[in-house]
Amino acid sequence: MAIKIAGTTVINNSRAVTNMTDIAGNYGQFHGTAETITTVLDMNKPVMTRTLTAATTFTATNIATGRCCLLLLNVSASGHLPTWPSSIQWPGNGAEPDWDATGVQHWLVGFTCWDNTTIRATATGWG
Amino acid sequence: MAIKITNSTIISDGRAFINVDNVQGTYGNLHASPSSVTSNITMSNSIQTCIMTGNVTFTLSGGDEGRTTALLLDTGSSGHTPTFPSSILWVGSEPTWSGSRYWQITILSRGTYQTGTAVGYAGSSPTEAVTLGGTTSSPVNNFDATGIEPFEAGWRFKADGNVYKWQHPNNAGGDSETLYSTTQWNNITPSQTYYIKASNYSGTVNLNVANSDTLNTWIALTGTREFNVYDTRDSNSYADENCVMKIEISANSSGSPVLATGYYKVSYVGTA
Repeated sequence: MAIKIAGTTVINNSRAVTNMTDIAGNYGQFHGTAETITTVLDMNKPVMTRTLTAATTFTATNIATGRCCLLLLNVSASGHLPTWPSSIQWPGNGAEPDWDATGVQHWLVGFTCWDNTTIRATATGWG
Repeated sequence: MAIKITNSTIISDGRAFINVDNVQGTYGNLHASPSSVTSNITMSNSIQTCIMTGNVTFTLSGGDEGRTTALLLDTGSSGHTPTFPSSILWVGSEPTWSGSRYWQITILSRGTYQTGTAVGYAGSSPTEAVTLGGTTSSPVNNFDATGIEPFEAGWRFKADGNVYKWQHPNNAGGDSETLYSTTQWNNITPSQTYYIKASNYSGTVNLNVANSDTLNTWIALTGTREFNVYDTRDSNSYADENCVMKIEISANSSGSPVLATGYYKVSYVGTA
């Protein structure tokens, strides 16, 4: 049986917490659910995965101040190039990482929404 | 109705989970609520934003071991300088904050100290430039009318890098202190100590020694430096008056080399 507060479900029958307004306390083994995406970077998804099979243009949605997400990106051995929305800014002089650098295939891309329109990102690549 | 476990509320009437001892599982659309910071970084807040409007010395609180916070820092178009507690150990060394305008700073508390990482983003702060206005033939003018004697007006050069006009409120239409320029003498908050020298250049009257900072001497621009005309005479006793001062700025107390030279004027009406 779901648990409701004033008629609004806060823990559903699948044991998922919903409609919460805030949480304060400690957490232990608590992980973001990884979801496979195609072209939409959804700032409502804490962990996204994508393996490119061709050059791909991404868009972004649900941008809101303070939201943070990770993208586990595999550009494949062929080094397919991602294209990012203009709302994403990269560190330093703003230059993007070299996505198809020799020997680099897997990227961990972090996104932080600075406001409701701008995302600032970091990226680290591995072989 | 709130949900309680052994009399401790764990879900409030506002659907907030509180007093949570531990959470296990997976989460989806779950985000930290961003909070705004002026100078105190609260480690119990996960995401904090700060838009600096001046130099800021930050403090830390709530630093229980294991807590992590991200500070989204905007140092402003003027490139304000943040100062962080010495308890923060930076990866490598503390970043050069003037290198970028925007910084994402992650702080991890280890209880008695914290580790910090920072990533800077484009929108680099402007390159510091020291300039002054006016020329010998066309000095920048601060005009005011005489009022209740004595007449007093002049120019102020402040440690914030800006230039201000000063008109005593007793002057007719005297505006007290007003900001004249944020680009003259320094386009940003000064990155170091500069030195200023003021001297009389031309005009019908001279700067008043008693009501000005030391003239003809290089003095550190670490506070307000003002150079004023002060006229105790009855305005019926003189015609229009003016004073042109020469202002020089250097990065060295010796005055060499001079980085910028400008000419600033005070003019006022006499009715004789």
